[in-house]
Amino acid sequence: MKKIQVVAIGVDFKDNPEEAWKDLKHLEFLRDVEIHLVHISSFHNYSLSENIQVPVYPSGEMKLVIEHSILLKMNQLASELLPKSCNHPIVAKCLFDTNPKKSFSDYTEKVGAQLVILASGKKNHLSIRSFIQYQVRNSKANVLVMKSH
Amino acid sequence: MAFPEKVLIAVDTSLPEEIFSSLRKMEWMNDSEIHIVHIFRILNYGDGLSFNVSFPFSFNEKELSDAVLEKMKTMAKGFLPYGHVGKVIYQCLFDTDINSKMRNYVDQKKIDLLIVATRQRLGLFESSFANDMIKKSATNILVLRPEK
Repeated sequence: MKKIQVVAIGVDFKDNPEEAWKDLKHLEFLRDVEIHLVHISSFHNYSLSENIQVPVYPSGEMKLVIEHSILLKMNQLASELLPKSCNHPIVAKCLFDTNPKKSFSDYTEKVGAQLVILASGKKNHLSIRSFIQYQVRNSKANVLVMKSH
Repeated sequence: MAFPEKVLIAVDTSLPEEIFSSLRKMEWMNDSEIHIVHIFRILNYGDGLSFNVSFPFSFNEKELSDAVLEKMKTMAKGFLPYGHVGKVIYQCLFDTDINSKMRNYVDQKKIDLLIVATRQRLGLFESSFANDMIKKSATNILVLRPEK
């Protein structure tokens, strides 16, 4: 039974996360933990086999642009929504994967998160609902789902 | 504003007590009012017109409720956060639809954080209660996973 030291926050911009996360800044314990803000973008790979070279989306250059804008947005979100003066640096990550649900789950396991925080809107986009369900079912960490009120 | 002001821990007495043990170190709930709630499912048998039997029988409810409250108090000693100083309220309720009863309770008491525990993954039947709360409840939800 360990005290929470690492927290992973799954970020998606589809469902107005600011509304769901307004209680985050009142979670005082977040000041003393390592926080990972993680956004996973879908990566589409159309190749049928390893030998056939076909386009993937987003392409290498486009990935950099998306990553840059997502990281900017996440840093802004962190400054607005997390408790002020956190004692640990906040790690912001934008990853690309063909299976975002699994990729997020793997990432939280890799960094040893003891708590996973996700946001849920009033009318959830289907993909977000399914993402949350996947994490609840597969995560090794406790999962906190913040709701829009 | 302190958060969470009011916490509800949904207790299924059939779950292993260790499942709640990670709550022990969640000192950020030390000042919260904690509601520890168990809801008994009332089973109805009958055709709805001439013949109706419900279990548990209403005359058993007091006895069951007392036993569950006692069990919850014992369990709570093992999972309430260290140094918790807030109020603790124990409730044992009865309803045919435990999910909606829980959601109503959450709304009525203005609970900020609902805590539910799940077992290990069990395929199709994996924690329908937790999933229902995530889908339909309006409050924040903390899902406790078994510690490995």
